[in-house]
Amino acid sequence: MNEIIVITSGKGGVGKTTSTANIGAALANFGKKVVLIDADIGLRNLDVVLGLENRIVYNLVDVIDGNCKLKQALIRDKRFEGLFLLPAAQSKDKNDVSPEQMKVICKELSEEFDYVLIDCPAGIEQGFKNAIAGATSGIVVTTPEVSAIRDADRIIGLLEANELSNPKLLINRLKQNMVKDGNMMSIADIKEILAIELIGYVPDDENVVISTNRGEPLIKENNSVASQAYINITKRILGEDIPLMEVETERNVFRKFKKLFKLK
Amino acid sequence: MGNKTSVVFKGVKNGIIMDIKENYDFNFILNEFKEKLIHSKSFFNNTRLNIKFTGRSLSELEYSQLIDIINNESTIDISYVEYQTDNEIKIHNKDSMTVHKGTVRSGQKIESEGDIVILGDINPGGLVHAKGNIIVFGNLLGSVYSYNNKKENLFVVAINMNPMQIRINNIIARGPDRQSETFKLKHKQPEIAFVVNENIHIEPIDNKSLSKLIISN
Repeated sequence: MNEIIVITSGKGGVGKTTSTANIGAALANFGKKVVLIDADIGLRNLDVVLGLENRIVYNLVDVIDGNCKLKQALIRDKRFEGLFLLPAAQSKDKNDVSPEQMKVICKELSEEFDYVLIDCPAGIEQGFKNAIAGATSGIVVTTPEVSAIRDADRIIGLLEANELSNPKLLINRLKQNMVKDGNMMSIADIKEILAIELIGYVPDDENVVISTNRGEPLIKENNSVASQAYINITKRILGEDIPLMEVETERNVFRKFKKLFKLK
Repeated sequence: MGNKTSVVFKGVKNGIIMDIKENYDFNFILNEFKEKLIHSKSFFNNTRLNIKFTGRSLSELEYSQLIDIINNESTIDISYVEYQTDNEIKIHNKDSMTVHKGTVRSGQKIESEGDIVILGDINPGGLVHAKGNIIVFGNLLGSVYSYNNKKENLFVVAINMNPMQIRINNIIARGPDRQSETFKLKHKQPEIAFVVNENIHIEPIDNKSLSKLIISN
């Protein structure tokens, strides 16, 4: 069976949807057939981030209720060959779907697609249970903040209890300058607490906001640090062994000059 | 829902998984659970087993109903039970000494009927309750509660002691308030916590402190 990956975090606003969109787009760029499922029923976002909201006719709940066939609800992203979206319903809520129904949909999609990515809603209630029901592996997104890490820890426990062992960790919005000054948790600090395998980190980058607002995945323009980070993460999902990247921010360069001239 | 699939038993390496499906009336589950156990009575035959309930979240009451059935209708000698409530993972241990492998994460609660050794960390928000001593081979960042009226000199040992709260019987100590930079794990030497004059004392562990406590236990 092909991989069904749930992208989750517990805490809201840490970048689940952005990560889903960009990893999905990058996977498609590498020639894979990918479908993204928005499991955030009632608060759909993934279609907006991808810039596909005006093309939704049918959605996940329509498929479950039998109003349409699964294939009819899939939206093809013209910019990326092989990228599809199964949007969430906006007028329903999470209790209109059951974990069993999600399992059926995930299984059906995984027969046709190389990768099924599920964008999980925040929280640990029904929506979370639905999102993880059909998954075969998980990626836990966190930011380097104490509260986000608490929630990530909780989520990892819940994933393991639901037999989704060995979830991978994605650290988002890392500010290297703050880490260097000791004002933000470093990757090593986070890894020590959560004790799971790191699949990559994404540096804080204004381009992410721009791309979200435009509705174009970052991957499309390949020159920002965040887009490079997502490409590296995607390569690791595909099984390549890519070392973690070092980020050279302007301030770092400046620092190096200072060091060179022995200014402190 | 006429067909009987609400309960599935699965044998695993060190015990048995009892998978209870969601969307069934609990009385229906109880009946079927009972039937299955009676049916397999000769199979279990006084075995000492670990039991893990999966699938449906169980309330305390539902859990105790299931355990009562196991005790009444089968000859299984339970050594360890793990189950999931709506928001917690609970482990009940009947043995006097338990070893738990793995990290105790936020929202998980481990209960033990005796001493417990944790091979791993207790993360912030994780809980360990033991009717005996608690020994942590890892970072203790969560809360631990050691209680037993019959035992004196209960203690908590951790390789890296940075707990949110330690409770020994009715005495509570809480960790220091957060300052800047406390997100960094401080690595200290192994420490032991015990009660002296109604206060919890924490000091580096050495032969003397340990042997005194072990002998008096």
